[in-house]
Amino acid sequence: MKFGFAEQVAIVLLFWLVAFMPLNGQGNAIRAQAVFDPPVITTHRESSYVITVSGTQQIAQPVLPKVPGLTFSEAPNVSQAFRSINGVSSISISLSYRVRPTRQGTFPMPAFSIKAQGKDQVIPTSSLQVLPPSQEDLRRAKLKRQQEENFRQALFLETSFDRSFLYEGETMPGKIDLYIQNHLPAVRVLKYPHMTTGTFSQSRIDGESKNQVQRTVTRNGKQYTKYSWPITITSLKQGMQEIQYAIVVSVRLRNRNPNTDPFLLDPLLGLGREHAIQAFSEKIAMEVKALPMEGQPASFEGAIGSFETEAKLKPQSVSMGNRVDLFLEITGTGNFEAIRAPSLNSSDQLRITWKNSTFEGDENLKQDGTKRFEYILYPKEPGLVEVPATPFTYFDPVAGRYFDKSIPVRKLKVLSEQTAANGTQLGSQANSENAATSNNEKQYEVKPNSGNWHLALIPSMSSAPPAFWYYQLIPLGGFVSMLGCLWFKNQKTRGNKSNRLAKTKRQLKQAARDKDAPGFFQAARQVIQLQVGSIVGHANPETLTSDEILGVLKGKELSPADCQEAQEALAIADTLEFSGKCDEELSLREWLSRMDKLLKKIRSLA
Amino acid sequence: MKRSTWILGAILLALSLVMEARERKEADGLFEEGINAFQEGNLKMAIERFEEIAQFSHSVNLYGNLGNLYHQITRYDKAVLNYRRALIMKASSEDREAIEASLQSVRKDAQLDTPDIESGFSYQHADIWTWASAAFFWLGLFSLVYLIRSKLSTLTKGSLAASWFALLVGGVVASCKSHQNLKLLEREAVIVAPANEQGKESVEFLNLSGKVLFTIRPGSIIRIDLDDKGAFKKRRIGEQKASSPATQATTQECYFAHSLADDRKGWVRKENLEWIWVSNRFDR
Repeated sequence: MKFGFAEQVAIVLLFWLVAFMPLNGQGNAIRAQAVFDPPVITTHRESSYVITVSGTQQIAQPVLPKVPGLTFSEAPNVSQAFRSINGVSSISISLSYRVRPTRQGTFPMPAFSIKAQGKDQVIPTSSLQVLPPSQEDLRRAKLKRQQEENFRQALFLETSFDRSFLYEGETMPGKIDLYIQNHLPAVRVLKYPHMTTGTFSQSRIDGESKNQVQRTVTRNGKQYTKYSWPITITSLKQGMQEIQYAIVVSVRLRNRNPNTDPFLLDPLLGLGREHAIQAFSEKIAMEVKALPMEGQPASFEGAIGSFETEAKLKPQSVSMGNRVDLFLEITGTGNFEAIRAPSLNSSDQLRITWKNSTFEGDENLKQDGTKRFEYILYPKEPGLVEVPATPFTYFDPVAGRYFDKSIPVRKLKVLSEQTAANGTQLGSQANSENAATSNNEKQYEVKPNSGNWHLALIPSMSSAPPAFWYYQLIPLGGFVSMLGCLWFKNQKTRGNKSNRLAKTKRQLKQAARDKDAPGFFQAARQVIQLQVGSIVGHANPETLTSDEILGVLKGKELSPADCQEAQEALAIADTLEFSGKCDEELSLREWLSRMDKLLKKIRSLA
Repeated sequence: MKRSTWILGAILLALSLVMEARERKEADGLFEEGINAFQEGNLKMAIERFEEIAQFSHSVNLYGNLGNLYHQITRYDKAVLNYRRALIMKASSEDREAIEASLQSVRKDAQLDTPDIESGFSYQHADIWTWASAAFFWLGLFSLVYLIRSKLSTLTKGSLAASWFALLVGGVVASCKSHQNLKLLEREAVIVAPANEQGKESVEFLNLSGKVLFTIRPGSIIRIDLDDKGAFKKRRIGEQKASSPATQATTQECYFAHSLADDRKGWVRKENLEWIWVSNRFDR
């Protein structure tokens, strides 16, 4: 696409116009003005106070001077404008405040300054004239009041409590009544009655809460449906307090028309729109008092109301190893939520454990009923066992003083396991669930068998004579037997050696008679070996060599001549054994007498 | 020995056996009645039956049961007495432990100040010490034979033999001490409240003039002191009422005793005493 010269000039001019026009506008002089719009109103209407600053849009929010009789809205509506008249562009900004008169008259707004582009600009004076209400205004006001009255009467809350005071921590019952006019097309409750003022905790109110519905209740000449919720409140803080409840209900309205009462006619078949309306109860003054310290028992743990206590043991008696259930019941009216299980400490006789607590009554209100605490008792020993006292004291807010309802010490009969096992009345009460192992020391139980009868009650000392001494015969016999065995063994060994020695000596003499030189000297060596062996206690003397024998003899200080004699005999014995002959002419009879002498000397060494 | 003597002896033996069997049968019958009464919850009757048996026959279970029943009816003094009697008889170790535990429990319930001091040399341990000493003696003797024949040095042999001898002497001393305590048991008694004063929480100890020195809780163990002749120290104590006809004495037989718990001494009325073990050594 190609542009001609004229077209190109037009585009440039347009661009210049768009790009630089604000600058031109900014370049204009800054002006400020303010007016009431409309400048004349009635007391039932509103006006607007509009500040317009031309030539810039950069202004700071002004602080309006106070004008008695007029109320200005806090935040103004801000609007910006751009204008181009005869090629001259301008910009402006407007701040609009809503103005509500409180009385009639003429109200001049004094001049004041406003910051525009960092410079002060003076806003000129202006005035608002407020006239008396017109007939139309009066009609509208009347209609509005009627609407409000209709609102108030169509849906309202009432609260009531038993007393105008309560004590800190006390739970007090009350009631909330919601009245809904029968023709009011209420759809649903958006927010159930809830406390808007006051430091209290209260019972729960919701769609599941119990409530009473009364369909035809006449109040102020009108028919209502009444919904009642019982409640309880518990004070949390001392001092004067106000209690107010609110409820939010959704109702169906016809299309908005300020001139019609939305409650007068039911919208057609659900047409129209839902509208949430909130209703408040009257404020009720409630004094929360502190509990008196005077006369407060040490066992007081915060129970306020009126109670009775009772303790039940099930079963009344028990056998060892089984448990007993202790039920502590607190019945009455008061702050059950605050009542904790009274502390029961274990003793040497009982091990006590808290099991649970239950409440019989309205679980939501918890103000009237019975609270039951269950403890489990494990007896540690048989006999009459003491169940410790159960402390419980409460403060009666009506009487204004404390009451002690502690349960005194009770006795529990604990029988033996044997009794239960034999099917006695206790045995029938024991069951497997109750079976519990007690870790205490095993104690003596009544035994059904008599055991061994004795004619006299005497200490049974088995070590007393003569039994003790009879028993000693056993180890004594053993000891004697052992000594005998040792002696016999010794004798046997000794006998064997003697026999062998005697036999060898006989061989020695026989060889001398037979002139059997090898046999003679072999026997001679054996005799020497046996005798030397007995001296040194050698177990196998036949293994002793000639050198060993001579060594022993010399060690025992045998005379050198005798040693020489023994050596000579042993040498001949060796020669005869290995060569079978001897060069020397041997006189065995002489050697026999020499050997007798030598053996006697060796025997004397032992 | 004459033939007639043998016959007489045999007849007497047979008679005693018959009597014993009869007593045992009677004891068994009463014991069963007592157990039945106990199972029915009639503790009083059960106690009566057992007490009847205790007049002529004795067993650990009898006294254990009596102790248990008296404990249940809170007659702690009688419970202590019967448990102590059960303990001096031959019982299994399990029963002995159970009875000792029950005795401790009774003492606790009776709030007896301090329990008796059961030293390691009490009569109940006499058996242990005696048998241990005997076993140690024989063991050492057998070892000694081996020791003599062994090749250990003389010093080692001597040390081992000396150690054995020292331990043996210790065991023998302990055994003697335990047996001495057994003899002391003959002098021990349990303080009880008389039948007409059941539930009484204290029993009086008197001085010679009959004034109350101190009181002691029933169930406490006391030991009677001996006089110079080795007999029980006893005498009649009380006020002589001169105004009464024929100067009727209101004295009561009392024993001089001391409490084992705190060693306090005084004269205690005979009716407040129940002997644990009635031996023939003392004239009561």
